[in-house]
Amino acid sequence: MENATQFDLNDALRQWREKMAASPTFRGADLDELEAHLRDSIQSLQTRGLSAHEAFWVAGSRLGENDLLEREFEKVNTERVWLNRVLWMVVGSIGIGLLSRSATTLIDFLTLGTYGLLPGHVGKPNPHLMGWFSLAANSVLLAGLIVWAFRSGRRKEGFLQRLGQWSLKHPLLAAAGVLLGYVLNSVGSYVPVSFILQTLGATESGVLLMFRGWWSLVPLLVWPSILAWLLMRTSRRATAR
Amino acid sequence: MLSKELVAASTVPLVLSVLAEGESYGYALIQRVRELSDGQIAWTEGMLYPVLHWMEDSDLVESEWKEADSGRKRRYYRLRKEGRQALQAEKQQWLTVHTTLTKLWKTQPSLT
Repeated sequence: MENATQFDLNDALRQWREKMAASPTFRGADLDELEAHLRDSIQSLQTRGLSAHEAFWVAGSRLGENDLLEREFEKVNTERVWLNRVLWMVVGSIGIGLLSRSATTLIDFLTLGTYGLLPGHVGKPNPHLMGWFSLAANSVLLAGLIVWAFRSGRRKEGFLQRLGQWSLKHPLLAAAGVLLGYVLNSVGSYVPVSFILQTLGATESGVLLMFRGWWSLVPLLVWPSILAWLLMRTSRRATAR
Repeated sequence: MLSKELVAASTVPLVLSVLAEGESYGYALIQRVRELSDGQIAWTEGMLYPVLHWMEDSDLVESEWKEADSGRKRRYYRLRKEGRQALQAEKQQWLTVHTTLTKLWKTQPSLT
């Protein structure tokens, strides 16, 4: 029984560090320094007869509450704190853009499909109706998204929080994922438009006007690139010593 | 125990003065101050680091990671020229307050 409750100092320190790393305020080097401090403090307390468990507890309370440390470090790591805010703004704007575009594409396909079934309308979609559909779908989606993000963002273990922590641990993967989603979505949203233009009898030049070749996708890379840069900048590995 | 305000005001001159004795790292710095003040100046230890980082950003000190014999890495802080100048200015100010208070209290022995 005694072994079951044995205290593992390294494990406790690792857990402490993980908890601290959940906050974007601390840089990797900050946590290295605080951990070195804790280890010195624990060692000194242990030589004075405290058990590893007691020493860990006392050293932690002398170091200060996590919230307090976070507030104090925020004052000096302002760049980091702001980069994190900007990161979330960019993620939000890209995320909303992606979802809104997906909804539009989906609605476009749906209306194209249903219109094809109506007698006399085969292959002749009504652009006005599609426009209204798409507007309604976008509004509903956006409202739902804002409510969801607000709720999830307020919870400490919410999906958004966990997503944020994951993307800070794997900045390259996160950036690549966003980039891929963005490009696929952009290409996807051109398909119904070019289809409509073609069924409406537009010439190939009309489609080209919409599409202007592959190089027109280049400006689409601007936002994901900014996001990728922000992710690299705020990731812990990039700033650790 | 010092008041919160006095702790905040005295941290920078204390750090500058300890570093004037030679380079040091956070934990040792805190121990030195605690020892010299007979435990009267006990910081919330983690709060020292943002102050040290601010002092580094302000070019008062510089830092370097070094490996101790035990293999443990610590971040050592060293005073820069600007730090020495800042220390001189701090010293003047604190001595002014100190001598003024001492003079006043000499004429008011009832206080002691």
